[in-house]
Amino acid sequence: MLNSFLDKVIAYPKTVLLLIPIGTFVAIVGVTKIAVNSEFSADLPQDDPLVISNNTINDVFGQSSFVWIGIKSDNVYQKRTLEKVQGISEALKTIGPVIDDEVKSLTTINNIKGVEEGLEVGPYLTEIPNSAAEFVQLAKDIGRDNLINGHLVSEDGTFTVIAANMEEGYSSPKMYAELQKVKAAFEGPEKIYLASDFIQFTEVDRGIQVDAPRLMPLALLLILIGYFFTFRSWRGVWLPFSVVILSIIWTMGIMGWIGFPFTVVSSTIPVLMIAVSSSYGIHLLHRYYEDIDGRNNTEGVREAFHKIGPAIFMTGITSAIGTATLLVFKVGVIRQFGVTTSIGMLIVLLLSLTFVPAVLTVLKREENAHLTKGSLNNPFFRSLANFAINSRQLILLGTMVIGLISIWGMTKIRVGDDLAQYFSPDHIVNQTFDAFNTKLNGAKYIEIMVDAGEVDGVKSPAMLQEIEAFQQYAESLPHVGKTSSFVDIVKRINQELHASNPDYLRVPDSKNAVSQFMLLYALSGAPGDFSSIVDYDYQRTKVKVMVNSSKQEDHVAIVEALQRYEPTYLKNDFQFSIGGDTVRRLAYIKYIVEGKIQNMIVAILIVLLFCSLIFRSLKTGLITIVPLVFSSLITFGLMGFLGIRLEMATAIITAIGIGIGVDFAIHFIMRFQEESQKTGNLEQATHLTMQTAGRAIGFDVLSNVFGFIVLIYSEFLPIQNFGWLVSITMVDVALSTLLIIPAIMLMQTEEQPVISIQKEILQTAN
Amino acid sequence: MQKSKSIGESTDQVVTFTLDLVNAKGKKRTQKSEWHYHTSADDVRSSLFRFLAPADVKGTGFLSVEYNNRDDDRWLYLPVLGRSRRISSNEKSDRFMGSDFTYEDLERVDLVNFEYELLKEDAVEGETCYVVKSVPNNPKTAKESGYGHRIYYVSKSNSQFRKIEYYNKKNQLSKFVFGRDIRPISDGSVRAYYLEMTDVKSKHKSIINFANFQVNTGVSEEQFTVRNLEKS
Repeated sequence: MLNSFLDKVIAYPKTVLLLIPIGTFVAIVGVTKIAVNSEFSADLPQDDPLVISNNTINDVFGQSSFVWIGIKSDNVYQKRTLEKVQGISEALKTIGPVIDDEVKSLTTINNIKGVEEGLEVGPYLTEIPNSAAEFVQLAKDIGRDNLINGHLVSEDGTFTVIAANMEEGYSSPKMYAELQKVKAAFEGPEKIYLASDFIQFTEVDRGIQVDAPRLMPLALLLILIGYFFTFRSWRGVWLPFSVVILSIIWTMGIMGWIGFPFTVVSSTIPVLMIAVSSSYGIHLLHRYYEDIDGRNNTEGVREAFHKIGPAIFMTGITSAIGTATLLVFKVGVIRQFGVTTSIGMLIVLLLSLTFVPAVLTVLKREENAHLTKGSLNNPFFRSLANFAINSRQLILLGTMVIGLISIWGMTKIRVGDDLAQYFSPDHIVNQTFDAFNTKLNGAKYIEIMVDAGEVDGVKSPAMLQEIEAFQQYAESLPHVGKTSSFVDIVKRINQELHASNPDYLRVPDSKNAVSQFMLLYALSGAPGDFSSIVDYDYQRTKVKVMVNSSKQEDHVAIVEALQRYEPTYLKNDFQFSIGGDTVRRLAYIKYIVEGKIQNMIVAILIVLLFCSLIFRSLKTGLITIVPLVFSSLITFGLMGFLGIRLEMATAIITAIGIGIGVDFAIHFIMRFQEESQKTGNLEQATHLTMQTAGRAIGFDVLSNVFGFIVLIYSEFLPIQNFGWLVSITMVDVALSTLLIIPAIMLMQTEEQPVISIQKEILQTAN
Repeated sequence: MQKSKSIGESTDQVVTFTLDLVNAKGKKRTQKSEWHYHTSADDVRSSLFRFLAPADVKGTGFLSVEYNNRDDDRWLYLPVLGRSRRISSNEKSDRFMGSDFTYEDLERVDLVNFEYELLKEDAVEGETCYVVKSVPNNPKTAKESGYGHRIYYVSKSNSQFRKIEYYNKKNQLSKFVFGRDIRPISDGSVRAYYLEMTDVKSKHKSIINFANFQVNTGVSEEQFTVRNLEKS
């Protein structure tokens, strides 16, 4: 059936070739429909505990994201710096998504001051002072203000923050641009830092956008040079390259038509396609040059494709199924990636069986001195075959040892991202982290909502003391800076009502006191309201916990420690929910690890099943998945040893292993069977297979690694990692195919029965 | 405009009222207070509020004395402290007790400081009203006011405000108040027994329900001292 299809293509090559540009045009239209989406916040399963916890908080207090603008100055308490604080505060209010009344800075924040007769609540700065004495006084006042010192201003007075909240639904690129404008307007001599999760992500996107166009063309050029060395003919360069380009365009086109967005994850698809489709082009052309010997063009094409068609077909289908297993991930962008790459595999398959034979039929007959039957004597591959034949035990022993070492390496893998690592130490993102972490002990925060369980419950002194104790517990944890809450405000009011006596910086004694203090506050001037920290019923209140690490495993540790808190003042439960952007993103880690493990297992099983069915032998099926399993172990092991983190982007890298691993194995096994059936001599079969399929595999890997190695020179860690992982994966898949498979196949003592069954299969397939 | 009288218009007055604060989600907090009001011969307007409910603020007292040519005095007595505290009080645009009413909204309007213009006639909740625009006519008043201008809907039948719209200094509608349940009181004039103020942006509402206006009962000036404030 496959053969009759191929014959039709060979018979009507021009028709086929006409369809190609049409298909390409449709694909390009699809590509234009692709929307870039660097955020995937809606993606998490809604029954995840962290997602639920975060949603609980959002239901009460609304959802908002924070942005902080930090100003570093030799001394914050001087006219020009304070003018900047004011200028930036006002500028922020004009930006759409920013919530006007929630902009907090030295020029907007209230001072709760105890004066002789009473309480004064009003802005610290109605106007910027002029005299040196006023600045000194201001510094003193703020130094004693528990609500501001160490929170909005660093204790050494050289760093201050303007903190704003933004409504959900803002556009990251737009906000980023607006904030950069503000920064440019006010920079110098003070240094200005923009801090927020979305800013970091935007910097990541920009990093990728800057670097990728710089390196990818170079990588592609090197790959083309690799193709040239494979075939030493021009056709050997542009034909595989056309397959690569067409398959990328068609796959991205379909992505656009389906409506999948272009994300950090799916931006790796073109690269993946290069690696996979190179292999197809190289194998096909290799076989053509082999079989053109002594035949005219049409017959040669026919012979080559009949012979290699089944392998191509099998690899296409199994690779498609293999990558489709990414659907087990609960994270939407990864599922989309799985669907898209699966389709991509099928497209490469389609092009291999239509475009390539059609082109070869239409073109002039071409021979290749390097690849004629007579010249199949490449010394390297000859020694490789000899090694496989003679050192079988060594190979298998080596496999086990390397496997064990890899498993050990796997235990060292760190999960979750660390954005700080992405950038060089002097990149603005890291400068910002450092500034916030050293001056204010935190560049991120975790949000906790305490639920007192009843109206006015937050006003009870026992509850306030419990929250205070909770804050102290949190501050004792590693990587936690300061905390802030409603309790700090109540304590301050208490102190100020007692003539600023620091002995009264504590929770008041009665609920009536708390209520009356809040009434006093509400009546004292222009208080603003607490709606962002206490709900209307005074039942729920937020505690903010500053975090000074960018590593997700540290965040996980903090969350787990917080969840273990035991109340000391309350007789009942101390109910709280943990949330905030930093926490919500932790939910991804669980699904990436879980998903990765499930994905690997399912992929291996499905490929095993499928190959066993096709080869009608469980044994052969098992042999097929050897490179796949082995290379995955090595890749993960190396990730552990090299410190490459398992995160969103790297979780999908092993999909390349699946796509290619199956590919190499099937080509090698099927050629081996063909040769064994012809000669009856396994050793000879090994040599011949090595010189043909093995050579194709070897040069394919060489070309790709030659190109992808370039990525290691990126300044941007994710791209470096990508370069490493793709190269490592390709090399270890190739080596395990070329060494382990023959070693195993040669171990079989009962060769005859196996071979005869394969003979039957091949005959039926044809 | 001179015919219409607002809340603080009599020489003295005692009234009990509840103040409901309702947020955009419909959540409600309620306070109940007794309000004594007095205007002296030299035009000093004093208010004494005694909180009756909720229980945790019962007994709290608030004293406010408005002068014509100096800053207002405001004092708060907290039972839990046993002492009263002066409250800084320079802004007329400050909210009263955390409600959507500002001091400016509740104090007596000095007609001489405003330009009034009759715009048209319109109906508010079925009652025909004069629609009058009020704009400060001198820089001092304009600066102190939290508003750019106000629009009053004055009932043709009883000269009482049925609705007032408050516009900020960018000419945007920021609040509006409805006066309902208009009843006669002992001195022959009428008062709205129900006031509902809505903040347009936050969708927050403040509702005042008056019970029992007693006017001109001879409220004495001595009531409005700090010492009296502290005698709960």
